[in-house]
Amino acid sequence: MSTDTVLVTGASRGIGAAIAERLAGEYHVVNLDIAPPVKASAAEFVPVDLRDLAATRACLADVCARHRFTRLVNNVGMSSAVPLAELGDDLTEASIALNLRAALLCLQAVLPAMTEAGFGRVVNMGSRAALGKELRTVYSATKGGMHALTRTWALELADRGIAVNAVAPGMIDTELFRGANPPDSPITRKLVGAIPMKRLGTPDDVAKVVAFLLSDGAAYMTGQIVHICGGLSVGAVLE
Amino acid sequence: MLEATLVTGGSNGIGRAIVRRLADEGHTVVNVDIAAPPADSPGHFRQVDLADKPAARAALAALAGEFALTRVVNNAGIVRARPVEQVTAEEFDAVVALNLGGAILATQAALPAMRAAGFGRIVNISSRAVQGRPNRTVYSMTKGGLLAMTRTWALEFAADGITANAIGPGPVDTETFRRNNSLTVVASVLAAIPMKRLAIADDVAQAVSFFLDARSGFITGQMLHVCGGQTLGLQPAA
Repeated sequence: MSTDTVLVTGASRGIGAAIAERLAGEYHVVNLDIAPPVKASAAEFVPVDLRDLAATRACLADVCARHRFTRLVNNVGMSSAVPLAELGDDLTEASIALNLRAALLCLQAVLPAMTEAGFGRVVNMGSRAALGKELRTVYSATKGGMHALTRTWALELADRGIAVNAVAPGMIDTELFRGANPPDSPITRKLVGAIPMKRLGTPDDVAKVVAFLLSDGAAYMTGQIVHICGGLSVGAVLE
Repeated sequence: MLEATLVTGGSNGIGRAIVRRLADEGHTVVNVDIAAPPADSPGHFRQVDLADKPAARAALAALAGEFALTRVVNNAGIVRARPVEQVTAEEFDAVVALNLGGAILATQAALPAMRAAGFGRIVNISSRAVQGRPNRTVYSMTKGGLLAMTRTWALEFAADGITANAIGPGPVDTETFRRNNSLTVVASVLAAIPMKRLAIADDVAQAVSFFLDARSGFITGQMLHVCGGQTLGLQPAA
């Protein structure tokens, strides 16, 4: 039985698309996303709204019946810039359902195969925003939550040969980032100026690290949060 | 309007000790909790289910009309100890609604009074579990979320004289802790704590009092571990 199928959520655009593209040579990639890929992709696309509990459960039952996943990338996410005073319950609930609950459902769906194989690689999409970012109450909460999930799952699954790590991108040049951070806004300009490398990251900067964490070779790393931020988080309080 | 300190989940456990400590120090304390406090509990009490968003918004808005809530302690929270395979989506939603949603709603309700005063203190009760704890998928996730929100609020309100800080208690000897941990687990937990004792709720109240103090105004976005040394030598919780 093959162990080379990877489940990636939200791989139709942005960082997820770069991850799917980078993994395509080595693995069969299954992409769960609400919309089809924006660029031609070798990944098997399965449409699903990962905020929708019933639809997500049905979709995962289907793909896990057809594939034996021993690698998972919980990438899907949404972000909005909203002051706390204006944050509504709908945005909070949708963000948590997509950014966190979908990750739990995906892990639960692939866990039997990983447990049986005595092998697994899980990479969660965290964010530098877990260290704090203005106007991102819910987004930062979901990403701080993702970092904590990563460490809890790493401890809980360590004795099954399953490694769980997270990447924490800083400012990456994607549609999501540009939507939440207009390039001409003073806050965005200030933030880019603060990056030691003085540039935004590319989606592939993140995908390369994800590919490493998914590899067989990344066997003794677990529970780690790898910041990919051009140096932005250096000097920040990581506690 | 009377200036007051809002404490969520102040009827039991850590929250109850926080309410008593703050009342002893002269705060007008308003406790919102789904459960009633002991009869001799000081301050004001409103029975509110913070996980019920419409009801909680209404109750908190009424409180904000009655008191100038310039200090908030987001303490309300629940733990469900569960291997990750056994966590249900329904339980996930319920724990998130209280542990994260409750903090958002309470802080939103207090924000106008803080901004009007040019002064505010927000203290979020997070947990050492942000560094990972087996069988605490949803709990550790919500506490990591609360820590991240603390930092975001610290940045967002830094110019308003409002500080936001978090406390990371290690295991605290409360009813909840005893319910969720067998004696065997307690023994292994104790072995991992350099001070060889559990925290008591007053240990946490001490840290809350410090952050709420008007003189603590240059400290913001920080997590203070109250853990008997348990976090020492561990990977910081990035």
